[in-house]
Amino acid sequence: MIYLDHAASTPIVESALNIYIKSLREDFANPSAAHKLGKSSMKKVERARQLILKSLKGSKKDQLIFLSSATEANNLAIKGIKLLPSDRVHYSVGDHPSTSEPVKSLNSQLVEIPLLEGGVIDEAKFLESLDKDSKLVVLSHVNNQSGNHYDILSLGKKVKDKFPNIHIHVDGVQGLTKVETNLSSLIDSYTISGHKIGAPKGVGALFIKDGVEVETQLHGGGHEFGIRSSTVNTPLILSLCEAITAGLEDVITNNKKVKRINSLMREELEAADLGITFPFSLDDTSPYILSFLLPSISSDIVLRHLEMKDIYVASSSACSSKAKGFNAGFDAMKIDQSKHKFVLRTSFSKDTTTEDIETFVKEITNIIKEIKRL
Amino acid sequence: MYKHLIVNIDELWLKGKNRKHYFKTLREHVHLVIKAHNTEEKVSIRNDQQRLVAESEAGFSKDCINSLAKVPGVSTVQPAISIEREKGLILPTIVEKLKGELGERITTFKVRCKRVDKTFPHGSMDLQRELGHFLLKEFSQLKVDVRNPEIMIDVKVMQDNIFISTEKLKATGGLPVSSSGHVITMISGGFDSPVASYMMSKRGCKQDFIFFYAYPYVGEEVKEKILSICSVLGQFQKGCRLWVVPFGEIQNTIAKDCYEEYRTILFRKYMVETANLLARRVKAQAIVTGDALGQVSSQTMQNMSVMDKFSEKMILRPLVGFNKIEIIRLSQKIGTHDISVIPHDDACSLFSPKHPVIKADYVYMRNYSMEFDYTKLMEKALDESEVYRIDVLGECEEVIK
Repeated sequence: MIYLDHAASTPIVESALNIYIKSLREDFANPSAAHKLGKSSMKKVERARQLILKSLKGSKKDQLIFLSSATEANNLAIKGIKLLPSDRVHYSVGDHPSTSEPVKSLNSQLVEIPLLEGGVIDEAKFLESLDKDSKLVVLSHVNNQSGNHYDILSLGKKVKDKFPNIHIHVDGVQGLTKVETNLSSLIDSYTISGHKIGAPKGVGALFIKDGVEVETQLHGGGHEFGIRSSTVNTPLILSLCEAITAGLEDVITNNKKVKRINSLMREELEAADLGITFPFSLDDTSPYILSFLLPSISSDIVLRHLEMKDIYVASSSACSSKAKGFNAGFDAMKIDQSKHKFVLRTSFSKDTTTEDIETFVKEITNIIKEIKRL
Repeated sequence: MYKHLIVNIDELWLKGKNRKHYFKTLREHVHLVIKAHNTEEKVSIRNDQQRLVAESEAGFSKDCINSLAKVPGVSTVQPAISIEREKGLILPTIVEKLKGELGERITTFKVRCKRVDKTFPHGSMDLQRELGHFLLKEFSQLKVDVRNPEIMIDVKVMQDNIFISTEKLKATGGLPVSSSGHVITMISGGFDSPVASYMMSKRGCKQDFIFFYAYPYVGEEVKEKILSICSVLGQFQKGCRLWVVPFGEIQNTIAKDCYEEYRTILFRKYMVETANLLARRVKAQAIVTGDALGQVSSQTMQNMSVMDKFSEKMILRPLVGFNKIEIIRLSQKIGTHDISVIPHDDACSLFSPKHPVIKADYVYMRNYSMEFDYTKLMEKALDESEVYRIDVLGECEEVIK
C-alpha cells in the first residue's frame, strides 16, 4: 500500500498508541473526582498541557483547552470572541470549512482575505483592508488543499503593528509538526488536531494566549477552566501530547526530507510528460502537501484507478457545492472553475519514501495514458 | 387515525375469468404494505364486491395510506369511519367529522350516497338530498356545489355497516404487480429509466432492476444514487431486487476494440445482452429501457431496431413516444426527479465518441460480437454483482451471498 493522503488523516505514532493503550487501562477514573485516582489522572493531564505549551513556545500563563477536534477548536475560537455587528472579521474562503463556516455564522461584517494566483495572500491589499473596526483575522498556517504555507508570524506582526487589538486566530491543523510553530507572541489562538499528526481521532486542542477571553460554547460541569465542559479524556490527551512532542523533535530535518520527496514527485511527473501542471509552487507551500492539475481528467476517476492499485490520494473535487466540480477554495486561488475537478492532492509523511513516489508516478502515468487513449 | 380504509380497484371492469386471480394478487400487495407499516397490529382485509376493506384497531397512519396509494391496481384509497347501519347515526357522524375538518376556506360541498347493499330501506338519492339539506342548516358557511365541491362527503351503505369518508386519495391505478409478467428494468441515474420503470409497474409488471456500474470510471456516489432511485421505484413494486453489475472493465475492453463512433451503441448492446443473461437467470420475460425515440444517438429508429436484433427477450420502451418535458414531469410526480437531478460522474461522457453513430450497421456489430466474444466477461460481471433486496416501503438491503 502506498498512502499519500496524510493531510486527511495519518497513521497513529507507535509511541502515542502505546501511551493511549496504557492510559486507557490505567486512567479509568474521572479526572475531576476528589479521590487520588482521579487526581493522579488530572495531574497527568496538567503535565501534558504544560509540556505541549512549552513545546509550542507558549508561556505558562497561556491556556491550552483540550477538546474533541479541530472543528470544535475553530468554532470555539471564532464564536467565542466577543464581536459586535459593526466589527469586521477577515477570513479566506479558501480555508477549511471548519474556519470559513463558523465565520459565516457570525453576525458581523465579513471581509475576504484577497488571494493571488498560486494561493498566496495578497498582503498589500489585505493590510489595506484592515481598519479600526477589524477585530478578528482568521488564517490557516498551511492551507489543506493547496498546501500554501503562510508566514503567520510576519503577517501577524504587520497586522498587530497597524491594529494591536486585532485577534489573530490560526488554524494550525496542517502546520503543526510539519512547519515551524512558535506561539510565543502575536498569535492569539491556534487550533490543533490530533489525527493529522499521529494521535487518535477525537482529540484536538485550542491554544489561547494569556489575556485573551474566549466565551464557552459548551456549558456543563466547568471542565477545562470553564471554557469547555465535558469529562476530561486522559488517554486521548496523553496520546496527543506524545504525538506533538515526538512530531516536534525534528521539524526542520523532516521538512527538508519531505521537501526532497515533494521535489522528486514534481520532477518525475514533469518528466513523464503527462500534461500535469503545478498551480502551487514548492516555495510557497508546505512540502507535505502537493496538489496538481491533471490533464483534463476528473481527479475522482484517477483516484479510483489508483485505489485499485492500493495507492491512496485525495481528489479535491469532492465538495458540498451543488455544482459538481466547483470548489470555492480554488476559486479564491484564481483557478479556473473548469479545472477544479482536475485537482489531485497528494500528501506525505516523514516516512514517505522515494520508492513510494517512483511507484506512484509509474502507476499514475499508466492510468493517465490509458484514460487519455479513450 | 382512521380504523378503516376502503381500497378501490382499477380496471376491474375489464377483467373476466381472471378476476379472482387479479383480486388475490392485489390483496397480497395491499396486505404486505399494511403489514410493513403496522408490524405489531392485527389487521384484517376483506373483499367487498368491487373493493378491499382494511380494518385495524390501532388505525392507519398517513404514511400507510400514502404507501397504499402507490400500489399499482389501486384506483383510490379512502380513509373511512364505520358506523352501524342506522340511518339516524349518519348525520351526527358527518356533523362531528366536519366540525373537525372545515376551516374557513372550505365553503362548498357535495354529499354522495351509494347503497352497495340494496336492502337498506332508504334510497341513495333520498339520503343525499336529506343529508345535504341538514348540513346546509347546520353549517351556515356551506353551499352545495355538485360539479366541483371543495369537500366530498361520501356515504357507502354496506351489508354490515355504513362507511363515511371525506377524503379520497388518487392512487397509481393500472394493474396489480405480477399480473402481467416479470421484466428486467435497465436503470440509470437519469430521468428516463425510473419513469419507464413506473410505467411498467402501473401495467402490472414485476421488476428486477439492473444497473451497470462503471467503476472505476464512476464512484460510489453513483451507486448510492441508484439505490435511492430504486428505493422510490420499489414502493410501486411488491418486493424487488437490484443488480449492481461491475461494468467498467467491459466498457474499457469495448472502447479498446471497436471503432470510436460505435462505442456508445456497443456499450448499450452489451448492457442489453447482460440484462438478457440476467432475465434468463431469474426467468424474466422482457427488458425495459427508458428509450425515447430520437432523444440521443443510441435512440434513433435504426439503432433501436439493431438493438432489438441482439436481444433475445422483447425490449419494452414505455417512453418511446414521450417528450423530455413529459418525462421530467412524471419523474416529479413519482418522486425520482430530485434524485435524478443530483449531478454525478457519467462514465459514458468519458468514453463518448465525438460523432456517435446514428445509423448503426448491424453487420459490423454482428461481426464484432463474433470476433470479440464477451459472454464470459458478462457472466463474470453478473456473478460478481452486488444484489440488493428492496421491500414494499423501498427499504434496501444487500443480499449477502
